[in-house]
This record gives sequence, C-alpha cells and structure tokens, in this order.
Amino acid sequence: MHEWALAEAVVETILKEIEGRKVRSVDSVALSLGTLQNVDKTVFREGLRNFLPSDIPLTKERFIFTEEAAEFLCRRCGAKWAYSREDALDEDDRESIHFLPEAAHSYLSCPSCGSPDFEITKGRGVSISSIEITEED
Amino acid sequence: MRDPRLSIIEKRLSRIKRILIFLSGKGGVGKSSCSCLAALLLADGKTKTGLLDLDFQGASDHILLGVKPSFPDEEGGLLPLTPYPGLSFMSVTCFTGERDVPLRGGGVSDAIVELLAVTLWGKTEILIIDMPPGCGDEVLDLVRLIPRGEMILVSTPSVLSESITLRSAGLLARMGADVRGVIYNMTGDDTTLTGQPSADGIGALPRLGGIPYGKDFEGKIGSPRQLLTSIQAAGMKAVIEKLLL
Repeated sequence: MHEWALAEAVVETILKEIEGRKVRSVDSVALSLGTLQNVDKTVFREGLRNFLPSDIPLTKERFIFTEEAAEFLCRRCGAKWAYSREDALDEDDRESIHFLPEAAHSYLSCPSCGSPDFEITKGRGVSISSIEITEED
Repeated sequence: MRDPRLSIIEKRLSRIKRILIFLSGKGGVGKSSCSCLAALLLADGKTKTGLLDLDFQGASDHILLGVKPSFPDEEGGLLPLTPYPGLSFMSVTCFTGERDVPLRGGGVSDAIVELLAVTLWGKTEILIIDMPPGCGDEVLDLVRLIPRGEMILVSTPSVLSESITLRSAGLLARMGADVRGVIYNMTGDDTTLTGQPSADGIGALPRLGGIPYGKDFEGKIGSPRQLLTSIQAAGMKAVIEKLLL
C-alpha cells in the first residue's frame, strides 16, 4: 500500500495543475513507472481511483502507464547496464529498493568493476510525462 | 517529466506544528545525540514527536535508540517505527540496515524527497530532523523543501566547530532560513574538552543552551530510558523549554 502514497502525490499534482483554471476536462495523464521501484500497477491504480475527487472530469481509464526499464551508469569505469530484479537480489533486498530506490546503491554494484558508485540514469520511479487538459472557451 | 512527489510533501507535513532541523557544519559535535535526546524528552513529555534521520551515510539514531532496523508497516504510505511511546522514527536504515549507503548529490535529493513524500507522520506535533554534517545537498534540499523548518545549529566550544558553525549560520541566513540558535554541546563538567563560546563571532548567535559532556553517556546508548537519565538529557531539557517558549 506504499503505492497509495505515490498515487496521492500524482493526484495532488493534477489538482495543482488545474487549480485556478477553467477546466472542461482532464483528458489524459501519462505516467512513467520505472522498473527499479517496481510499483504494483493494480494497487497504484486503486490508489489513483481512491484519491481522485469525484468532480474531476477524468476517468481512471485515462491514466496511461508506460514502463521504463531501469538503467545504470558506473561513475568509475563508465559501464552501462540494465537492472534485472534477479541480479543477485533476494526478496528483502528488492523490497528495500521498492520502498526507497536509492537503496539500490547499498545492494547493487557495477558488473564490470564492482563499484557501488553509479548513477540511476533511467527508470527510477514514478514520474508524470504529461497532463493533457481541455480548458473552457 | 514531472516529479509528483514534490506536490505532496507540504501536505504530508501540514499537521506538524513545528519542524526542528538539527545541523552543524562540522562532524562529531553530537547532532545525533542532541536530536535523539530532544525527541525522547518531547515524547516523554506527552508531545507526539517524530524523528527523521537524514544522515544517510552516517545514520546512527537507530543505535542511540536501540532500534533494530526493519521495514516500516504500510497503510496508505510508510508508517514510522515506534521505538518509544509517543515517538515515531524513520531512517534510511529501515531499508539498508547496517549496509553502506554511497549516495551522491542527485541520489541524496531523491532519497530525501522519497522519504518526505511517502512517510505518514500521523498525529506528530513536532518533527525533529537529524542532518548529516556540513551544509551540502541535504541542508540545501531541506531549505527548499521545508521552508518553515527551524534550524538548530549544534556546535562544541572548539574554535574549529565555532568557525564552521558561523559559516553555516551565514549560509542559512543568505538562504532565508529560520535560524533559531546554537546548542553548545560537550561543554561543562567532567572533561577537558570543555570551554565557553567566544563572546564575539558565534557568541553573537542566539544561545539555546549548553549540553555537558559525561563519560557515562556511552553506556546509556541503546536504551531510551537510560538516555533520559543522563546529564545530557538534563541540559537538553532546558534547551527544549527555551525552544518551545
């Protein structure tokens, strides 16, 4: 249910986006879900539905999810690699990263040189790609 | 791309009346001890208190409080641990245990934003945030993310600490942060490390009080009830009373 906290943040962003504007409809909200955080889409969607005020003209179907694969860049040797949840991680380690993606630095290291000094270049967590709104004439 | 977490932080903290941020320019001056004592004293006085350890690379509040790091419960977000009645506690160690946490600037910022966005502080009235040493990413981020935070500088009476504390106070003032004053730690009583702050320089900052050094403190680490019996707790009690006036 940690997903609900992130869903609430998305809804809060939508509300701030339309605040003070004469909005006819919120047509779509595009969300990018990074595979590193591994958000449970079903629970996340339930959270969105729960927090979205009933008077907002947006239906749950207009949330568009795109999954973004997590990638890393080693700051020591420059190697790039993709995250795989099966990379020597047990369930607790994966759960830690789910709660706090930066915990990846404690559990993962560069496959080329072994350094934990890497950058999460893609696919960290939840971000909003776009909020499409139609305003009244 | 937009980060939705930034939209929810203010709401997450909106019920909290006071947010006290313990920081210092120099390491080893006792921020964590002061933070934990303040949190325990407030909780012991029936004030619902939160303690957030943001010292990712040197997290130690859990050791002071005798907390074995474990995953927080989930209910619409993350529920802090309860190491003492009335005290809610969140730390990176809930997710990393005793492992190292080698984060750089961007990772530090992301981790701070994540914890502030997903932690539910419930009925917490006063939140204490224990910062890492220095005025780097963590401090700059908190001034940005929690503009109503009250900055509590921790220093020892050493000229080294005083000099850096002054610089930190100057930076915070330039950023428009609310600097409440300085706690002088390790001053008085039974050690040669004692001294008095100089009248000029750091002495010009509001003085919140002094915390004596006591050799028996080490033996009380890990037991909140024992920590509350320390002479440091007595010193911190006066600081808290002054802060809450």
